[in-house]
Amino acid sequence: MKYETVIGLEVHAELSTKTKIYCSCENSFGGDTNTRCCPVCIGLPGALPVLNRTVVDYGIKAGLAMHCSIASYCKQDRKNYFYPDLPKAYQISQFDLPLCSAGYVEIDTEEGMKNIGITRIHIEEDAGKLLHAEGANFSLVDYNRGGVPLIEIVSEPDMRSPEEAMAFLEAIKSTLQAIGVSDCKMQEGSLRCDINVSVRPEGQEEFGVRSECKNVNSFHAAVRAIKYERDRQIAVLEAGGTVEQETRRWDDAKGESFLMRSKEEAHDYRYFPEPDLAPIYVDDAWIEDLRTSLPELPSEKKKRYVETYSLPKYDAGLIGASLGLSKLFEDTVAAGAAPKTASNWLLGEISKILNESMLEAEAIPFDGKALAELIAMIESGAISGTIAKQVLPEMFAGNKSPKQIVEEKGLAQISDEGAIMDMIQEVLAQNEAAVADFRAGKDKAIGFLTGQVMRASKGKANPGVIQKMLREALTALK
Amino acid sequence: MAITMQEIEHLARLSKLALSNEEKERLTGEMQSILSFADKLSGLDTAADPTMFASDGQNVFREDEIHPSLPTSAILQNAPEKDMECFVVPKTVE
Ligand SMILES: [Zn+2]
Repeated sequence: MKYETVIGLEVHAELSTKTKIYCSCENSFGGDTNTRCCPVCIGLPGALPVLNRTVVDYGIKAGLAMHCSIASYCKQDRKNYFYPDLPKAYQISQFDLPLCSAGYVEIDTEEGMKNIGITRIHIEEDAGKLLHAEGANFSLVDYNRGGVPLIEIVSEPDMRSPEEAMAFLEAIKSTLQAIGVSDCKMQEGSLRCDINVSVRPEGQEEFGVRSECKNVNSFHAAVRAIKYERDRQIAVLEAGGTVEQETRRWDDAKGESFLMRSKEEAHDYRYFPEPDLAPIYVDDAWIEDLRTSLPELPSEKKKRYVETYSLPKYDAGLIGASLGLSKLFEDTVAAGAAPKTASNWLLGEISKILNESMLEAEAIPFDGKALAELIAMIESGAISGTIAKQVLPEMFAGNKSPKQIVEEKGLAQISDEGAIMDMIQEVLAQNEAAVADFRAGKDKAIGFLTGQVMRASKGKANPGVIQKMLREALTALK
Repeated sequence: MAITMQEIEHLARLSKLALSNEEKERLTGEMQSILSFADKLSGLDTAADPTMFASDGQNVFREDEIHPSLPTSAILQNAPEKDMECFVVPKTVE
């Protein structure tokens, strides 16, 4: 039987406010344990939380960017559970009245654009961090992360493949980064997700029983966890069994998920309104203020790049999704480079260097003018494409312009025919077999010989000039 | 509302408490009397809207400005057990 996979995601994003959600402790990553804590965020009796206004601003911004309705009235609730990373034994979250609801984000699929529904976005506090010492019979708790503001974005079960889930996560990440509410650094845990997966026979309207998978800490892990869960459920059904509603824990190192708790043991959070925090009223003026402050969104950028610069959708999507790449792209084009050429450099060599050195595009040290200068030098014939690829890493290394680098390193293209002729004569003398091939009518040999001359010039000779002169020299030999 | 032994066992599980049979029985009775006391409120004619907040405050916010946190020694001073500038808790792996 053929099955269809149904996926819903819950994404937790840490907000990049200066302070925590309910106290004035600094919100940042790393540093010594328990150094950014106070009576509020370690839950001392009598300490009173006060909501950070910027958290509400950021939550509304995220909601607007994802086409949600913003609640004119909402409140915060206590979600009760006992775990040592939660000092108050409750997490302040939002239960029945979230800040944002009923939105969507657009993703690109093989069948075209698709809207993935956003059920709700609410604000809440993060928990502390448990540290497990190897072999010890105790755990350590660091509360620096306790009270860091989060938004939880809950999607509708609208995704039908791991690829769509990936596209959704990418869209969430690029949107949150673009509007500046979260840095979405997966490696620092500022974006985490829980995955709901079910399968149903193709054509069946009713959803299958879903399981929830927790502890998914990268997009790559999300895709693997979805595939694993899909295959596990199909195997259960094929064997005549039934899928249980349960919570599972993803172990990325093992590439497997494990049962955490069954439906019977499901949490009973006993939510009730947080009496220490006043309700939140959001009027239209507040919403409009934030709406006008929103920058162009990645999806809008993508459309504009396709329409204005005739970039292929694929290029436009990748560049539009990154703040760093899109700024560099627009600056490079503004400095005179052809859009598609600029895009090729950004998505080719530049992305390659970024990946190799594990850098974000925001860390690129040169500007659009410099990249446009490099491109112009290739087009004018001052340097070859091969040389340009050697210049680029130098541009990453320091603050020198491409022109300076080419001059200092003596990389300028050799168009001096005398110098090239010397190299040609040498190559011809050393490659008698290839010369004989050419004379025997094998035109292919010219490609090999051109390559040899190019090598002799260390990539600096103009390939067009080499070819022309080689032909002349070879014909003269005949 | 009647409190059953099962209800007490469920609450104990949620609270991660191990209760003896005597304790469960005692708590069932105590919880029952607390609830009966609170039940008196249902006899009152209260306003149509449920009251969720004790004060009329709304939009009580703080500006996003960093203030110094407490020194780690003060944060840890009431910890029953501490090590490596952290709170020590029983080994917890979910
Ligand atoms: Zn604090």
